[in-house]
Amino acid sequence: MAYYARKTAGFIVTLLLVSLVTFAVFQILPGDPATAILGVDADPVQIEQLRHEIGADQPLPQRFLNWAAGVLRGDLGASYQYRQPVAKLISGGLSVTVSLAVFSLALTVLIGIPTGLWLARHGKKLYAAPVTFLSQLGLSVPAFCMSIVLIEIFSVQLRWLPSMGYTPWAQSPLKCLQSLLLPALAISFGSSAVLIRYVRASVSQQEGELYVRTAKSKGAAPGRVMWGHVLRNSLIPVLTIFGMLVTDVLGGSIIIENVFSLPGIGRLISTSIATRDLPLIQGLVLYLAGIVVVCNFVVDILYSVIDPRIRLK
Amino acid sequence: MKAFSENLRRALCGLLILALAVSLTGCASEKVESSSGVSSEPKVVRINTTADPDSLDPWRSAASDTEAIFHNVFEGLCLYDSDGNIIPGLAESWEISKDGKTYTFHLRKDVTFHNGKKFTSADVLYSYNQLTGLSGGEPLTKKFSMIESIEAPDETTFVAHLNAPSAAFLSLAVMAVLPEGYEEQATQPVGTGPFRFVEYTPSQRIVLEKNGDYYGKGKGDDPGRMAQVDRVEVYIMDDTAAVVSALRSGQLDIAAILDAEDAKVLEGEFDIYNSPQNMVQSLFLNHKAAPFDDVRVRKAVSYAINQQEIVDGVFGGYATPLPSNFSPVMAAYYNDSLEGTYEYNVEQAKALLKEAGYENGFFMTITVPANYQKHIDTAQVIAQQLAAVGIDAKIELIEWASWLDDVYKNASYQSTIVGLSGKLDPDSVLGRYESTYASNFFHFANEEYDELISAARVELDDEKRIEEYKRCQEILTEEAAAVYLTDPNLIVACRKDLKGFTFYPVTFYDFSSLRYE
Repeated sequence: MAYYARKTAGFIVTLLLVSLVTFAVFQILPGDPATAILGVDADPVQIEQLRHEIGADQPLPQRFLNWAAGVLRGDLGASYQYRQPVAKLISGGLSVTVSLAVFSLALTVLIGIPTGLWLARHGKKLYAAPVTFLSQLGLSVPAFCMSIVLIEIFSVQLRWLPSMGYTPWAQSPLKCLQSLLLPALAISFGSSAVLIRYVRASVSQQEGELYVRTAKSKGAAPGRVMWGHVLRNSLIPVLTIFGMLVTDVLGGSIIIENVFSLPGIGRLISTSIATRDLPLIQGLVLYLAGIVVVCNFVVDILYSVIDPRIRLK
Repeated sequence: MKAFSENLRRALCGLLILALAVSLTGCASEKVESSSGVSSEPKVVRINTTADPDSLDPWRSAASDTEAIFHNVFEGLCLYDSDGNIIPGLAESWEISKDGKTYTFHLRKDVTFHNGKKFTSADVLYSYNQLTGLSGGEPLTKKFSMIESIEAPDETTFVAHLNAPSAAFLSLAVMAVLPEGYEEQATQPVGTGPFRFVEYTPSQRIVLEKNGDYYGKGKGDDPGRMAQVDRVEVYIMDDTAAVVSALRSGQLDIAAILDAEDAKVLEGEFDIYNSPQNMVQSLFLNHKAAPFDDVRVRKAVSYAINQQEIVDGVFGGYATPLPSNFSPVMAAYYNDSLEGTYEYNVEQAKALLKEAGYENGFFMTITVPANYQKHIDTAQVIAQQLAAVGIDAKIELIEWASWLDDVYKNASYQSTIVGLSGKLDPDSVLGRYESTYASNFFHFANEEYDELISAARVELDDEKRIEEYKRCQEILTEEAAAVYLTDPNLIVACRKDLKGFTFYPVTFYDFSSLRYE
């Protein structure tokens, strides 16, 4: 029990430290939110008014305490720039970013695993050269470059798919998929190339193992050897890579959002920093840090459930 | 084995992040757009803007990009036409007393707000009470400090008593009049304009819709200010490349704020319009920072700069060189006799530097906001030109929010390149150099100048006022208060079947003039 209590305490302290540090960093950074939002044409009275409305005229420690007290009540405060609850803005942004990430990962798997398997079999043949070349290209071309190429082909020339904006799933599932297809392709072009390489290498390695020789020599059909033996074994390391790709894709989608003007977390992060929108930045940091910390926390707990010896360490 | 379990841990972590995030987005509620249910295809115009509005409440907004869109939604007692002349708005006429201190506005009787409320003098009274703080409470702006008292003798008359004559008062009376007692301006704004507000999705888009009940229909076939399209969607996009491809792929009908290179790409397929935008882009100098406290050095730098090279090199020809802190787009007040005062002349520059004791040049820093590529490009051209007279200029890029704090607010800089945009009244442009002006970040101080600015403010004789403002420009040029560069033209690309795009001397996209042909 003490183990869980210790972990929970660590979890809370981490979040507290993260928010304190962000808060402090934004005090050191020059730039006043009211001036940043209203710009050079603002009347001094307007700036004072806004500073007052958003509470920027209160002393520092009090602002932090107010904010922290709000968080404890489950209230992340309101954004300076958008005058909307931070929680609502974040969940709105997250729905875009996560839809994009899920879609990209699905494409990554759909492209990566079959191609990897195929290449493991036929990779040395001449007719496989274009596929190998494309996957090499995927590794070397950054996603935003790919985006520009895709936009030029599918939006500007063919006019099949939109290059900007986002339609929520609830409004029109088809339009939602359309608005996400190009950005997801741009992201998965690179990430599926990574997956292809791992699948291919892993399958090739497994095929050289002794158990494959045994299976073959006892007369198992090549398909059965592949699906029943090799694939299962080679997917274990691939699964690990996939877990890392998830983080890559989430990170990559933040850049791609700007190229496709998608209103996701990436755009929230960049605009909130530019306008010194402290509540929104704090909320975003807390959210992202919270997700990471919660995941680590759950994994720790899971480990200890699976292997009770860990608790004693 | 250890490495494997570490990897497994990471993999599990990644998957959990994903699962958690997916479950969280399930909670995000999405508003379903209501379809208008019109049988014929609605006419929609889609346009871009660069930034989120600073506030949907016009009294709390200051950004010109916000005004550019929302001036279609809100109206004041007065409006302005495309030449910057003040024309009747919610007030169909007005009288000014002989002493210039009493303004009597006769209001229109046929106006309703977008929420269905009838417009009367009570709304004007409420609006000006809020703006001036006369009913108690803090004023929302300093602009109306000349108002001493206000009254509404009947439903269609509004009277403002000023404490002194004010030449700028009518051009300030373009300020939005809002319905009395309506509290939702910041989220669901309500005005009287030709377009009504529909929705705003942060960092995505703003949607406006035709106000079918608008009063401003012209006579006969003339649509007046009545909207000729049904809906306007304004997309918030900060990447110009994205704007260009959105236009080329038919996702935008108008693309505003383009670069010259983009305009060249789009030329054949689209109509390109461009016009000076009443902005003054300058190399501003801090008069309290040596060596710019010496007028000879400021003049030397002015002579050392080749404006045409900036116009051509940075703006691809789409910019207007400026002799002083004033754009020719405000034609009536513009002092064209100053053109060519500092013709590019390296010898003259060197001579002046020698006279000031900087024969071997000096080192200077140009602080440039990092988010304005054109200003950065300009800085690079200038640094090269200055090198020719022995001045070693270092470019320092700074984030916009930091620029506002360090340069604009605290004036801790040596020189900077930025564009200051003008408003309808010359006072908003030239008043920036008044020694008492709060954001006089140049630290410019000149007695004659201050007197002229104060005099022009209360001068009701237009001709005298014009002379005063022309003299102000002359002083700025004589003193080389800053190194004046250009007014970068606003470049707009428009679908060929979409006509009527009109430029104004302030940033305003007049959606009511747009029509499909």
